[in-house]
Amino acid sequence: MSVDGRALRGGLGVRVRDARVQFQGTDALANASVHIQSGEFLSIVGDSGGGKTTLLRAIGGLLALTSGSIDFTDVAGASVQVGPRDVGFCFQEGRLLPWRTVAANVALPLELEGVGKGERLDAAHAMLERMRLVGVERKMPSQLSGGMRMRVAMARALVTRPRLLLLDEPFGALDEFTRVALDEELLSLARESGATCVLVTHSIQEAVLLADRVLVLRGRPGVSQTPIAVSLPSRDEDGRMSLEFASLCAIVQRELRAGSERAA
Amino acid sequence: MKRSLLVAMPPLLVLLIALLLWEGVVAAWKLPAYLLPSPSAVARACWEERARLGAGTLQTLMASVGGFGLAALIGVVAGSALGSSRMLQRGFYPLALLFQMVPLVAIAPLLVIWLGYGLRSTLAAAAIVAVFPVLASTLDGMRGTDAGLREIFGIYRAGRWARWWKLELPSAVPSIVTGCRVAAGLAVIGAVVGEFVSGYAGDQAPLGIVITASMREARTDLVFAAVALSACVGFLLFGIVSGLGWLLLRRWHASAVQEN
Repeated sequence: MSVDGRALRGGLGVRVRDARVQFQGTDALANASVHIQSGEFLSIVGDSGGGKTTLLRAIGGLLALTSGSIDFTDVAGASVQVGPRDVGFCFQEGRLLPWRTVAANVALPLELEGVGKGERLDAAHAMLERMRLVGVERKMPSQLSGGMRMRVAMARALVTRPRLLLLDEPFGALDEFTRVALDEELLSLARESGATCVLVTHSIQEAVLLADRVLVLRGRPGVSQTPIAVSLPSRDEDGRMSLEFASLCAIVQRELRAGSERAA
Repeated sequence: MKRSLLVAMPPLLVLLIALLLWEGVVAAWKLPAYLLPSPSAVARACWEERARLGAGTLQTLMASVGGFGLAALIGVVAGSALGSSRMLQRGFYPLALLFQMVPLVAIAPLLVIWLGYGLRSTLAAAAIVAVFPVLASTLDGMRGTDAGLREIFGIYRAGRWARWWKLELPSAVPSIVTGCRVAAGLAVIGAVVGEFVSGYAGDQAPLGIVITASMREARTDLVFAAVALSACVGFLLFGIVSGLGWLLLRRWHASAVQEN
């Protein structure tokens, strides 16, 4: 029950102010500022080497800022501290433990928190059911297809009922069909969980299709632009064919290209 | 079944041909038995001295298995400790390397002084030569743990113990298994060499003592028999270790999956 109660707390808001990250003296991220609303889906696009992933990792606390600040707020806008359960990560490589079954992989975050075996396996099972992965609980990751492995990785990220879901090009290594299917799945999961989602992607189409707003990091290192609001009639197949979708993609593209020309 | 026959046949055939050649050479040149006994003479000696050789094999097997087990335990524990701390690694690993360079025959007399003659000394000798490959492979395996997986454990704030038990040790298992296979062969060498120095003579004498005693009595056929039996002990231990390794890895690691 304690696990389910988490969804009610709502997504975390993230306030990034003048975030800057340096590696050995060079900027990997220069002055990024963005205010991510509670429950929002934000996509980040930008040139490779522009600091998309750096920004995402900084938000997740995986690396320290050189200057600037990142603060978290609850639904009401009050400042909050985040715990390990509040943030879920999904990486392109999946990062499953090859020696563990699918179920044991999904239960890992709860296991590391000290949740009892019965409870964590129940939670893992429920998550796998939600991801339509029933029947593969006892398989090893190496026995699954790339798309299935990604779904398992998503189930693991979601098993703690995070309030903030960070996705680092999660479907970048998958084929087009699998990718579209997983995009749709991700969208419905995000809505249903109420978690704030931040997605880093190379694909402008994917960024627009999933997001409430798209943040463009222009140049190398990227400078954050004003996020572009996305409003689409629908997010299904019709939505992808709509004129609004095409024009939004063009806007994002233009915002990006303005940066590349200057850099070149 | 067909496959295992295909694997076993070629080496057995080569062995058979070599034995026949050996038999032929001994017969053709009429070599004296103290210089080179024929394979049939060795086989005869095996049978006639079966009680002594059987007891000796058992002794050497106990020393090897016990020494290997001790080495595996110490190697994994020490390797894990060194793998967990850069400070410990800097302080101890070079010394472990140095210790590894000391020839066993040179320390064997010390073992007699400290542990007396018999199984305790020979077991220690086996453990001493077998421990290093296990330690080194454990250390290597732990250090090779995937950085992405480490990050996952960091995200969920896993403790030091959980990191070792649930991440680093499982990651190191393929490497540890390889180290243990090397150690299995070394343990038998260590046991026999240890027995040369510290073996307990008598009716329970281990193979190392059987070898030295038979040499003095010019029973070259018995020397060959004991050598062949110690090789069998090594082969057995190696087989057991490989089998256990396969059991551990078969569900997930490429080295075991390919053999399926």
